Amino acid sequence: MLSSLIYLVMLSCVILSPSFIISEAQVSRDYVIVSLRSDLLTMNLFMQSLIDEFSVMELVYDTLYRQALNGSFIPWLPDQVKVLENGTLWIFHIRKNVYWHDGKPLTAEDVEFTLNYTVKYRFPTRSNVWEPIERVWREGDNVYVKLKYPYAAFSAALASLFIVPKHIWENITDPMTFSNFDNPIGSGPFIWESRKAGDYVQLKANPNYWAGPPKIKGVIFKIYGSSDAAYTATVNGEIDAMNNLFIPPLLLSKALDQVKANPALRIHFRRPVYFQYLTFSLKKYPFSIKEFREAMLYAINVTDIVERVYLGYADPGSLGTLPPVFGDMPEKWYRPGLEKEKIYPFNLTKANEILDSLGFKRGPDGVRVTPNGTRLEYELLVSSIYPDRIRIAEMIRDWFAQVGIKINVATLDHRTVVSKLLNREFQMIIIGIWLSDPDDWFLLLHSSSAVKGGFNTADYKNPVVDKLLEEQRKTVDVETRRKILWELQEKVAQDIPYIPLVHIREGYLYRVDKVSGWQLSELFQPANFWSFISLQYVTATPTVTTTPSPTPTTTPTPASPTQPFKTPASPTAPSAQITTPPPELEFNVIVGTIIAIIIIIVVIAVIIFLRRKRT
Amino acid sequence: MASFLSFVIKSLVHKFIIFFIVITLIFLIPRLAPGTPIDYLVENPRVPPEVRIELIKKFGLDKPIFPDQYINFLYNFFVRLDLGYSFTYQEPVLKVVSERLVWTLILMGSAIVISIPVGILIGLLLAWRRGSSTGYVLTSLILLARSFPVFWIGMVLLLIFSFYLKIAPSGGALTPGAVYTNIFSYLEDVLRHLALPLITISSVFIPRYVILMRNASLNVLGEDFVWVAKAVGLSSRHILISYVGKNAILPIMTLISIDIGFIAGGAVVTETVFSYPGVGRLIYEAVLNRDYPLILGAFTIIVGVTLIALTIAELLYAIIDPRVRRGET
Amino acid sequence: MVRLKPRRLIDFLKRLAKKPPGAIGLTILLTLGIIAIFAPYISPYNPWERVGTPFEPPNPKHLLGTNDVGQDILSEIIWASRISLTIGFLSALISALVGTFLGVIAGYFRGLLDRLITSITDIMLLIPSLPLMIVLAAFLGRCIFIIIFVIVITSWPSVCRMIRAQTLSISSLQYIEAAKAIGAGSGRILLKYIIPQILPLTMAVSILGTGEAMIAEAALSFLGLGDPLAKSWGTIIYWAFVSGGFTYGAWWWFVPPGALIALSVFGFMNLGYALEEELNPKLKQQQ
Repeated sequence: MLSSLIYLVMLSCVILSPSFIISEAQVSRDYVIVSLRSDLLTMNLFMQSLIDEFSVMELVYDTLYRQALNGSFIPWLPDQVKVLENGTLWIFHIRKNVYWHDGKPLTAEDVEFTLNYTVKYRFPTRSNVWEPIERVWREGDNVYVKLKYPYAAFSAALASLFIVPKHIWENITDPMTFSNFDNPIGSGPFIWESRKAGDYVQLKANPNYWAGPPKIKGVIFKIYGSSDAAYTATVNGEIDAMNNLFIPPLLLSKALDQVKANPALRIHFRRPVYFQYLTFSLKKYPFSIKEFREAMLYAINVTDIVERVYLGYADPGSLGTLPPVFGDMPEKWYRPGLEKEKIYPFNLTKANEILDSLGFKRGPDGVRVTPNGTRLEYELLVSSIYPDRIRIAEMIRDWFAQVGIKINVATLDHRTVVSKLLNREFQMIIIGIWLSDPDDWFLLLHSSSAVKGGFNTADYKNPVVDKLLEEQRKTVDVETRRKILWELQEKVAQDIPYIPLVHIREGYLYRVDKVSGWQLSELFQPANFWSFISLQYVTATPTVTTTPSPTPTTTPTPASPTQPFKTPASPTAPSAQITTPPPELEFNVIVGTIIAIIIIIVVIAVIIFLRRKRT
Repeated sequence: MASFLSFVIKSLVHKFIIFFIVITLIFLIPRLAPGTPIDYLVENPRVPPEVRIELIKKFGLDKPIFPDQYINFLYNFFVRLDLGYSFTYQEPVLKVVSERLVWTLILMGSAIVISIPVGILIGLLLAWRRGSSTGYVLTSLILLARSFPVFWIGMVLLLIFSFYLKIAPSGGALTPGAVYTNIFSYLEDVLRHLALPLITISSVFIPRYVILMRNASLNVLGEDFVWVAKAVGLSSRHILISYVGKNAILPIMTLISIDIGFIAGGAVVTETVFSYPGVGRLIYEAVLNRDYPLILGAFTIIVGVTLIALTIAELLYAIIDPRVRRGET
Repeated sequence: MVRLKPRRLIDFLKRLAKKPPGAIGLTILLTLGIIAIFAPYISPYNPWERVGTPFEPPNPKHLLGTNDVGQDILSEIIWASRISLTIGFLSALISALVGTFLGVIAGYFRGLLDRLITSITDIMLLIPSLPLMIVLAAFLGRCIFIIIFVIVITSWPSVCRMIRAQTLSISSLQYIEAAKAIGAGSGRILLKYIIPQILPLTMAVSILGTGEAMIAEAALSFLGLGDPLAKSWGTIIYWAFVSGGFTYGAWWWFVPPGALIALSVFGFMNLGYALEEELNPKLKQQQ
């Protein structure tokens, strides 16, 4: 009797439990939802370091420059920019009719304040802004910035400096420990609405945005623990695009099938400016020998890495260390023809020959020993959060074993790897870094950063390269700068300070059934700033139809400086609830189920109790 | 009464010493590991080395771990009752942790509420039916359920219910941007997101309690008084419930109070699989970010809660069973 | 009481195998053990060699398909049994030995030593184990010995607590009191009377613990805190996970290792319980 009752309870639990799941979501589906890789650590604009933070900040705040879809940096808040005095004096005329989200106007004073604030506090991640600045002052609507030296990448640097309202930030005395999560006031196309720590961030459209209000109601950034989860969510229609999480290689073939079958799904590939390379210290023997480095190059099969690890969705790196994607930008910084496979095609015999000719003889276990007795056995560090790098390391280990170099692959926690890299406590490391402008290669190649804590991890020192790096920095003219950069790449390719590996093509899945007008570019993910301000609903909603403002579908560059196309404030168009009110029946079922279970349990308890009494 | 009071004081002092040692350990371990909390800034190559040194000073990390940093921590913790500031979140640790703790408590709390009664009932049944074929098959099934890794069960459930059947959300605790018309629609949304993680965790918890209860009951079944009861001719159900169940439940209660720590911190894997915003994942991320104050704060809260639960359990025991007071533990 | 003599051991195993749990446990573990020992002969390919194109579904050449870099999954799984079982068994054995040693000392000698050991176990039991494992594994590095170490650190205290209780009850038995009274040395009592009684228990505990350790290893690997280069069932699942194998529905990649973990844990648990029943005199009486 008792046991059969228990069976009954278990059975009913099993049968009823799916009813918790089955009922459909009754939620507002009119916000555009995209994924986020991890939680925001801060909304402090000056302390931003994660790409996820940037994704949110660039919608809530404005900058002096924004990177256009083609990769070049265009003035955004200023309607006019003059660069004088050989590139050392920058004059920004700040646009009128720009308002903060709290209604106060954004003026040149705010811009001046932000720049001075940055210089004053020397925010670590904004050093490319404050380091070159000598002085900032204001005359009327013009902000003057005097630089210590001509700085070609200043516009790129300014694209990551968010302009903050003076009336709020002047009261913040300790900005390094200010999180700014509490209702951040910006001037961007979206207004901060709410955040659930570890879950999502919600932004609503700014109806008064100076470049035209967004046509969508708002944006939600939802955090997913893995790219798998974000992928599933996009396929299921829970979110509209994968953002900051790209499709893992195995899923690509599946995703491509899915896109063919489902007209609502699309894939976009982008080629980020991300440099992934193998590094070692040139100060250490035998890495200091160029022939040895050449032998290593011959022993690495980049094509195989592209095919196996990335299923073809990657570009082989160039010995000039700049990524090929630079070749597709209007400035054409990339010097073609320096690809590793062109100069040093995979050839184990050749690698063996070079090592033989260097006098590195194989020991009894097949591992070579140099004439002065150094055994060619090295530890190759990779951080465990990048599975693709672990695979690359394994492949390199196998190839090197065939030429008599023994590699022990060690995977460590990412922070530990970075710390070992910067403290020069390593033999070989595979690492990748995010960069944006060619000027960032200063940090990789210039002798001044060949110190502990610096990013010239090869300890590479070449006066010619140093000089070229300094020169390109000061050259504002694109043609001349390109020439210098090309020469720089040729020089670096001769010295081989780093072994470039591959540049990933990241595939992002997105949907076109709810909103359309995604702005696509090789450099960006589908969910980028330009998309968010151009997206519109596929099914007409009252919000869209009441404001028939002509809106450019392409990059809305601030067209004529005199007429910022601020739409006449269309006050309170009662936004249509796409939400259907939750069907009563559904949650009645749920509540009913819960009550039923409780009743069953109570009844059983009573029966047991009574039986006990009787005996 | 005096003996009871001295017992209480002794127990409290003992607990406090343990607590002190635990937080000291958790204070030390991360700091002895390579890497510093500001490495996330360093990864950005634009940060010049000298700025890094400045920052290390700012966080007080240039001072020796012992005694400066340690004393500073103790002072803040015991005198100012301040858990400190999270390096990565730039917010008070208490705030960061409590935001996440809510979800963990919802998840683990409901798992416990479901698992304990179910587990105890099945366990009791299995102990009673030991030797019979139904009992054996059930035991095997329970053991088999216990044998799968949690994350594996979670991933498979996610694959089936979310990816193929599309009836469960792929993760999170709430539907983002949801407009709730009333409290029920909110509850429903929470439940929808809770279902899969809850099933996953219960699949570990239920077998755990079943096995505990079965073993405890088996021990009791071996006791003489059960034989006597049988010999006297009491009915099986009566013996099962009033003797075996009652006596076996005591050790289970102790284990549950120990489990509270596990409850607060043990769901890392499940939370990762379901992108659930709980404390377990917070700790995991804090470890990867070397956020010393956050690691310490989260552990302190978990350990503190466990200790309080243990103390309450012990005091209740002492009130119920005077033998305990005399130290016959 | 079981003494570890070959004849008796065989008898004992025979007795174990008579009951279903014991039989099931022994069969499963023997099979897995044979697979692990003869891995080089059984596996169709070298699991480290990239023999196929990446992500092949099951086909006659590769019965369970290939993984993300084209290694044969079946061979991987066969070889992985070595590391998985080794990690599981070694860490359980070490923690059982450490736990037994400290537990016996604490339970027999009592006094200050007992209090010290008890306090340490209390402290270790109090720290939630998985987060502690994460902290340790993240900071110590990736290698199977470190994983074993981490599992041992978190699992010995419960063994210690149990053994101590057992030792306490044994040493209060009359014949031990009597031995003490006639002046037998501590060492003699420990070796002759207490340890032989405790050892079978240690064996049962370490066999039960092996299952737990294997699950812990898999969880660590899944979180990316294992050694992704060592081929264990946990890391195979990790690779399936990070390469999107779950979402792809590549069941041939993650179901077999998951099922094998479950199967071996199931085997260890069955054996462990069978042992426990065999060794628990109270339970035996009833039959």
